Amino acid sequence: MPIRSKISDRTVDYAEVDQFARLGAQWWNPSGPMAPLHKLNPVRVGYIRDQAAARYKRDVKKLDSLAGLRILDIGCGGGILCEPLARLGASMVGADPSEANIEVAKSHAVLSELTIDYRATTAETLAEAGERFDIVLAMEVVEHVADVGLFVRRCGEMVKPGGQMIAATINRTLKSFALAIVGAEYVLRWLPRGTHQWNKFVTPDELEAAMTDAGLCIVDERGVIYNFFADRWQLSDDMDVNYMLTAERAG
Amino acid sequence: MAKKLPSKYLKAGVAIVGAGPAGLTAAIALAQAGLETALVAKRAPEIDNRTTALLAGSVTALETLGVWQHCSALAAPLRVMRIIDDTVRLLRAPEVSFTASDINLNAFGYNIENRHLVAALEHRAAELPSLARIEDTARTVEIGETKAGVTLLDGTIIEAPLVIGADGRKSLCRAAAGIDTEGWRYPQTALTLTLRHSRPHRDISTEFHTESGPFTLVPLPGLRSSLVCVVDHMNAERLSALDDATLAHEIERRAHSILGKFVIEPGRGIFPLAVETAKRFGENRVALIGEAAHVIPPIGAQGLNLGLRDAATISELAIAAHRSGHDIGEPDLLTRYDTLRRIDITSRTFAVDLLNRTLLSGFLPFQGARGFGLYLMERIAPLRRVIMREGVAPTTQPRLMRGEAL
Repeated sequence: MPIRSKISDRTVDYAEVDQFARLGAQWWNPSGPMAPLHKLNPVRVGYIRDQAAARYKRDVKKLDSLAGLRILDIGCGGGILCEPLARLGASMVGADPSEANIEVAKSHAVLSELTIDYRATTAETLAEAGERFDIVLAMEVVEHVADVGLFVRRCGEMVKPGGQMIAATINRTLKSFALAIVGAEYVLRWLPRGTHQWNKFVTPDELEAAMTDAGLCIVDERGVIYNFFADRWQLSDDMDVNYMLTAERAG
Repeated sequence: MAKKLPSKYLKAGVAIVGAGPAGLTAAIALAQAGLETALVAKRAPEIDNRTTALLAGSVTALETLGVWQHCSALAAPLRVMRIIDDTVRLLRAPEVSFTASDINLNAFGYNIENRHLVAALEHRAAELPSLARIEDTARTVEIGETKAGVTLLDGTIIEAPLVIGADGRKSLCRAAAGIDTEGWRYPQTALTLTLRHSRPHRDISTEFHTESGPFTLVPLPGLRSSLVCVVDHMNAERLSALDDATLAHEIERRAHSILGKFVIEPGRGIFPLAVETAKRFGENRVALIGEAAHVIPPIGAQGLNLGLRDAATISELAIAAHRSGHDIGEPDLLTRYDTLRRIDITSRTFAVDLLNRTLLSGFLPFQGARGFGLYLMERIAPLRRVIMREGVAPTTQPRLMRGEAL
C-alpha cells in the first residue's frame, strides 16, 4: 500500500486504516456498512453544536450556529461528520490517513456543494505544521489509534487557547464487549466483523488522563445509548459503552 | 460545469411548489425560522368560493406564524356542532350537539372563506425576508442525488435539497418522485356554495345526515353560511343546473328552514367525492403536503386541517435537521415525515369514510351502529368530550399546533 510507505508516524494503526479504506464508496450509503455511523451522527452533531454554542456563546436556533469556527475532524472517514458541521457554517478541515477515504469525502462534498478542506494526513503532521483550531474533534477514532496518549497529546497541541477538544469513543467494559463487538458485529451485523478490537477500547478514566496530560481540562462527559424502541441514539448518563468527552484549553 | 446556465438560476434552502393554504403555511413556517424558502405558484384565482373550518390547532398554528391577525375578523367562530339524523329509515339517531365550552374551548374552530385565508397567508409571506414568492408555474421537477430542481415556465431553475409538493391532487412533484396513489371514488358529488340567510346561525354549524350524504351548514360572519351538500351524481347535476332562486328554495327545504330564507351568492363548486392517498408522503427529496398527499371528502372539516398539520410537521422536521447541519432532503427525514403523518391521515380518512358509508348504506345493522354511536355520544358526556378533543386536535400534534414557534 502506498499510504504505508508515504507516511511515517506513530499514532496510525495501518491494519485499521485498511479496514476502513475497504469500505470506500459505501461510506455514504445510509443503509450500507456505515449505517450505524449515520444513525449515530445526529446525536454527535447535536452534542458538538451544543458544546460549541455554550463555549462560543452561539444561538443554536440559528441555522449557521457554528459560523466562523475553525474545526478539525481527525479520522474524518468519508466526511459524514464534516458535512453537517460545514452546513452549520464551520470552516472544516477533515483529516484521514486513508487516501481512499479522502477521495470519497472530497467527491461527496462536491455533490453536496460544500467547501471542506480534506487532507490525507495524520494528527502528528498537522500538529507539526503548526495548525491551530477552535475545536479539534476525535470522534469514534481513539479506539482505532496505536497510542492513545500520544494521539491525544498531538490533538491537544492543535487546540487554540480557550478552544475545545471533543472526543467520542467506546468504553472497555464487559457490557461494551457484549454490545459493540458481539452485538453490533456478530448478532445484529450492524458493522463489518473486525471493525473494533475490544482490547483497544479506552475507558473514560484513561481518556481523561490523556487529555489532562495534554494540558486540557475536562468540562463535560456524557454517555450515548441506543434506544431500541425509537431506533435512535440519545445522550445518557450511562457511559458503559459509547461516550463523549469535551475538554478545554485554558484561555 | 461546462453546462450553459439558463437565464435565471436560483438556489434555495427549500423549494415549495403550490401556494394554497398548506404550501403557504409551510413556506411561512420555514422562512420564519430562517431557511431560504422559494415558494412557486401563480396566485390563486379570486373566484374560489370554498370555505374552511379551521379547527383549534390550526388556528393556534396560524397565530404562532403571525397570520391569524390578518384574517381573524373575517372568520366566524364555531361554538356548537349539531348533528341531525334526517334519514327516513327505521333506526334513526337522536340529535346530538357538541358544545365547545364542554371541553373548555371558546370555539371548536373558525370558518373562513379560503380566499381570505390565502390573502392573509400571502400578506404574511410578503413580510418575510427569507421567503421568495415566485409567481410562475412549475413545468418540471427533476430529482438528483443530493438535490432536486424545479424548472418554471419562464425557464428559471430553482435548486434545493428538499422540494415540498403542495401542488394539489394532480401533483407534479408526486409524479416526479415516482410516488403512486391509491384510493376510491364515491357515488356522490359535493355541491358547495355560500348563502345569505334571514335568520341568525348563532355560531352553530348543523349537519343533516341524509341517505345521500351529509348536508352541512357552517356559519360565516354575519347572516351568511357556507353549504356543503353531498348528493348522488344525478342529483348534483340536477341541482347545479337550477337557477339561483329555485336552488335556494330547494336548499331551504332540505335545511328545514332553520336559517330562514336563503339567497345564493355567486360561485358554485362541484366536487365528485373521492379518497386518494399517496403511498408515500415523502421520498426522493420530495415531501407531499395537502391534497398532493391526501384527498378526502369535504365531510367533518378534516381535509385542510390535515394539510396544515402536514405543513407544520415537515417544517418542524426540516428546521430541526437543518439546525443539526443535516441535509434536509435525506431519506431518513422523509421516512420519519411519512411515519409521523401516516396515522393521522389514515385514521381521519377512515373516519370520514365510515361516516359516509353508514349514511349511504341501507343495511340495517350499519344504520343501527351509526345511530347507536351517536346515541352513546349524546348520552355519555366524557365520551363526547374525548371525541370532540380528538376531532379538534389529535393527541400528538406538531409544535406549531401547540403554539410553539419552530
